[in-house]
Amino acid sequence: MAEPSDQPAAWYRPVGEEVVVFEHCYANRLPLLLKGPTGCGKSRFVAAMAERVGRSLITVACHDDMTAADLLGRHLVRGGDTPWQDGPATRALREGAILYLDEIAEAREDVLVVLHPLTDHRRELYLDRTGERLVAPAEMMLVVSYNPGYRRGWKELKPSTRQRFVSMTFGYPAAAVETEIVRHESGVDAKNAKRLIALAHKIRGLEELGLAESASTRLLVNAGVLIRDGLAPRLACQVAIVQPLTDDTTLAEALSDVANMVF
Amino acid sequence: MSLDERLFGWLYRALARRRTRPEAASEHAVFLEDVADRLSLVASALGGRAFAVRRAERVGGVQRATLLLPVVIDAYPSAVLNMAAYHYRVAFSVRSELLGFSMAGLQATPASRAQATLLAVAATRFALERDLPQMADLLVALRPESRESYTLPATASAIDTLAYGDPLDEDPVEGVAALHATPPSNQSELVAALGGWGPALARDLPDLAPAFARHALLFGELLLPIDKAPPTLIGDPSQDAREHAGGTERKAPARDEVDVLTLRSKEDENPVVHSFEKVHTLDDYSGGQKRMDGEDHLEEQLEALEDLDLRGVIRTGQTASSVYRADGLFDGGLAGGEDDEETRRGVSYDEWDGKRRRYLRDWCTLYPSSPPCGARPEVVSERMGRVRREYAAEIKRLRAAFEAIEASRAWRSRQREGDALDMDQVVMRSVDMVQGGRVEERVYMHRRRHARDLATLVLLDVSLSSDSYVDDHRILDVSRDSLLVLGEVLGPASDEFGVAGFYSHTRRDCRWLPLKTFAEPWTMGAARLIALQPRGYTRIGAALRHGIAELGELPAKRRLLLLVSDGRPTDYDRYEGRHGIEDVRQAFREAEAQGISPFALTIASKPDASFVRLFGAGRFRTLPTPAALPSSLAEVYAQLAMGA
Repeated sequence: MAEPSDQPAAWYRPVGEEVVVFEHCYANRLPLLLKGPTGCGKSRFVAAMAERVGRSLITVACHDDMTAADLLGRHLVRGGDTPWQDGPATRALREGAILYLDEIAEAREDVLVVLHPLTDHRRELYLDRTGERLVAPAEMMLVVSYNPGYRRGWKELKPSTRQRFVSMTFGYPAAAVETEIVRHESGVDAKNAKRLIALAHKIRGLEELGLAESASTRLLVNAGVLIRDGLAPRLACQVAIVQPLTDDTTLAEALSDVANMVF
Repeated sequence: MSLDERLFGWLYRALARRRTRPEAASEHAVFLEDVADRLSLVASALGGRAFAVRRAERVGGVQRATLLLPVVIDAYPSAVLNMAAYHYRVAFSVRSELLGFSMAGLQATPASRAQATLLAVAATRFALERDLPQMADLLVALRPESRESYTLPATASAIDTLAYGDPLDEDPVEGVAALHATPPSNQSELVAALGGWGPALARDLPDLAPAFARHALLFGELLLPIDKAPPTLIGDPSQDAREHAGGTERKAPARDEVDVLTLRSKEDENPVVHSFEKVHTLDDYSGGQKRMDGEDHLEEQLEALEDLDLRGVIRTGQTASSVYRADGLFDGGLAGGEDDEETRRGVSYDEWDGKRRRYLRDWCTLYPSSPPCGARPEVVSERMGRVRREYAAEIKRLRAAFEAIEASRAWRSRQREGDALDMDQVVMRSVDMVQGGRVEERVYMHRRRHARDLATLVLLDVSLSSDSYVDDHRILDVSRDSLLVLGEVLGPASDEFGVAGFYSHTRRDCRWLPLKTFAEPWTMGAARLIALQPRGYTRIGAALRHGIAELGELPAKRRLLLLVSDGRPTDYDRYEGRHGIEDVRQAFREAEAQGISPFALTIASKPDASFVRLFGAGRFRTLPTPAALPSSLAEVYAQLAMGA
């Protein structure tokens, strides 16, 4: 059984040419956009690549209420003093880190605009509060991700932002690779890993029936961890795969039925 | 509808219900009607494509995308096992269909069917257990006992070997062991194997058909593919006529194999033969003026038919006479009074052909009518008064809810004046004061009136199906009431709101009734809603696309398209079954692609798996009773408006 602790912190199993693409982008200071469904390994990929190039990783989970100050930094009031505190983007520039903006489509466009000078030839940030102009060091890289399937009707990345990035699409890996990933990440045995993948493929086949998000590799890993730890496989699938996927009673029953047929 | 007609309809429905739910079942019995949706989802997951579940007339089996299953399984001493038998049967049938086994190319005699089924079982079970090893254990648990009762031991042995993989040391029938070792893997191999083996089987196992029957619960039997079944007129004509007299919607009993309608080459001679519709079709027919879709789509119709629940699909000569009796029931004619010249300018919309995965370009023509006349003021005030009284509690509750929403999302930061301090700005301001720079004055938060970034269009299905009754409520009345309630709740914010009705008479004549445009006050909409009458059919796709186009022109940041309908796409030029479902689903996708959030509210006594297929998960809500609609409509609107 593989012990995760024996491995480097961010184990990553390449599924295509993504590592090569990343290295070329990194060497040439091009920002990178990762598209793909939830739980398919985007964030893990970024963590592993940061480790690979030996830079620290600063991750920002984007959301609706995020302001430019949340990215760039703000003044604090402390006694009679007003110290400046760097935001994550500013810090990434100062430290030469990989800046990873997760779910970038969740952020408002007017907030993302402050990053635009960072994504073209200028590679700089302008802090209007302090009047400071920061130029990104060669080691600094911007990576963003978003999930095109997960649009809540009106959230989509605008072309003006999208076209600043080299873009790659992530999908769920092929069965053999995904089995390997699930085995490694969860430590579950080969037989159960294979069954988890078989179940995932059946559920993913249902996608056009309307599951907004399908059985992700992350869900399979969770189920695998529970199975490895001794939870009955059917129960593990129920709580780690079926219930996270749907609130619809009939759909949940049907997915459990399928899980029970596989396990 | 007169009292005796209603009574008759009620009696018929009660009888029909009894037929679907045999009384003699034990407490462990599992009924198909309780698990059909679940099983159809399981089948779709296992098969990787959509499968529907229908009640089998006899043993059942699978026909392309339709599983025909027994009405009830009560063969085992526990509900768990009975349910497991359904599961096995579903998994088995799906696999059999994926392998392509059927009675095509074979004689449809009982003996030949039993032989073919047994041989296909061997192959299917093999493939099934390779994919789902658990199914082998399940089969052991479900296997019927009592081998002693076979008249010939050779039959028992052949069934044991082929169906359950228990080969004996000695092979009483020549070739069984060989067939077990290498079962046919497709239909042509099956036909070839039976050609060589069938005569020996018929000689050695004359009792195969009755003996296999006890195993048919788990395996079903092979059926003729639907396009090979002999064309037949369904049903006893006199019985049909009697049932139609009730004027109710009814479900014809599922037929395993004979569900093919005789389509005449000269359709216009008897237009009703052409239509797939509920009994309303007949009611709606008011003499020779109904417009026919001139083009011939027999192939597609056959597919639509396959998916159809066969509700009075076939009309015989006798039922045609009831068409004339029903004359004048509705004003659903084509040339209604509101059709003035300008409304004849149609807009063309594509329709999605799910089977071929392509658009039928400019397939539908939609005519936006001018706004219909409203009801008289005294009628409006009477009706509004009733709605206000009846839903007083709801309206009050929902108003409070909407106010809370406004409060939560209408704060605007960095204002020069306002109701509350913007803490971020206050901090910044103190920083500026310490540093002596330009001091920020905009430190307030201001509460806006309802945010102007939302536009909602409600699409109301006004087709004849909205004339039907659920729980003693007429669907249209309740839909109307719910919109009136929503209008009451929204009050002045109603300029973010549009309402339109839709109905259709074939793809060439889809109608759009603007009931309340965005600019108009609710009172105008209310008057028109109250005067609304049901008419026509339900071509949802074209209406959705027109709604998308209308919403697309609005400047709002967020746009909602709310569909209120029975969730049954229906039009009498094959807008039925899978084609209709896929078109609606595609239209929903188109809306999402354009940044419009579509949502559907459907009224159905129980959730139907087809709604998930129609609208997508989380994109609809099913209301068990129409009485729930008024509050649900407003709630759904509130949720969508919040962006939840």
